[in-house]
Amino acid sequence: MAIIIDKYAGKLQEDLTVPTSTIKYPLGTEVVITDTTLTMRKRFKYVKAAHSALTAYVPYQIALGYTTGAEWATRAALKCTNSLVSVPQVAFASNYYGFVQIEGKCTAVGTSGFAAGDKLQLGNGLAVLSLCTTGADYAESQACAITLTSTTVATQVVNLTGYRVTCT
Amino acid sequence: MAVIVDKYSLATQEDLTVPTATAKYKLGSEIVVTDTTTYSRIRYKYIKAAHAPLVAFTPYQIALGYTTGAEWASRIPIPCTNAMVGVPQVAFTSNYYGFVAIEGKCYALGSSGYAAGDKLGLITSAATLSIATTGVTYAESATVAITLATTSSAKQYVNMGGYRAFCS
Repeated sequence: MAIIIDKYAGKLQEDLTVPTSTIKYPLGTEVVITDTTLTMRKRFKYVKAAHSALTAYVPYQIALGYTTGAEWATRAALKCTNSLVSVPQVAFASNYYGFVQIEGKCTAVGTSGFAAGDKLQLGNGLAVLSLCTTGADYAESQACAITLTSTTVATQVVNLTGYRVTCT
Repeated sequence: MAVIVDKYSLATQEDLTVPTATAKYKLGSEIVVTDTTTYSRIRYKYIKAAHAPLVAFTPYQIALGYTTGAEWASRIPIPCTNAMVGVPQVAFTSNYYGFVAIEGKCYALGSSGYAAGDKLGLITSAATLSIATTGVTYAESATVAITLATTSSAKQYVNMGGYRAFCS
């Protein structure tokens, strides 16, 4: 078995925004980048658009898989307690490979526009982010993102948390 | 306070498979490697075999410790809601230091052979993975690995999630 140490820096920046029909990185690879115009980092995960084509800015869950070439794959949101939410920043053709954002500032589609600071969740069966609704004062158990700027537009700028949450 | 940025790479590839009596890396260090044969990504964590010798392919929990030189250490599975599971790919002598697999494709012992796609968890006091059994629709709360290929052998090839899970 030959092993090389993962050092993904230095690959083409365009790989973040251009899904491909053949795999270019090991599935599950995470890349952290610094947008020099922001004060925060962004984290992306390399996945296969396994369940369908992906629409830009639409949130999906990422699931652990067992099929060769789909060990980390997208799926429509379903009920679970350890959900990793991702938002592709570009459209993916079905079964293409590419990076989806899992942490940091990005654009995502909500059920409506929200106010800055609103905590957002991805509900079972949904393809949009909505307000967290549990009674917790600070619903980090289910908040996968927070709205960054008040807007009336459904497609809005959010800060993805990057941690696993409950999807109800 | 002097701060340097951690950038770990292996001194030698053999360090992944040869536990040592003295620590060679900082406990808790994580190394991500790419297996160029399977083109899969595997993440390892550096720990101390603190509670007993470790048997190759047997799953253990990894616990946060307070003893100097055992701040990240193996333990027998106990009930908890945020369990990190590690699977040594080689045997460890008691109190030796080395890398255990926590994410990606590796071998692990099950309570029996399982079918491809079966979701496996690690329950209290068990030394094998078994079918995850929580009541949620998709048992990611308790899933630590997924079987990659149907087998009748207890030692099987799995894809470990790398996230913390519920241990009942």
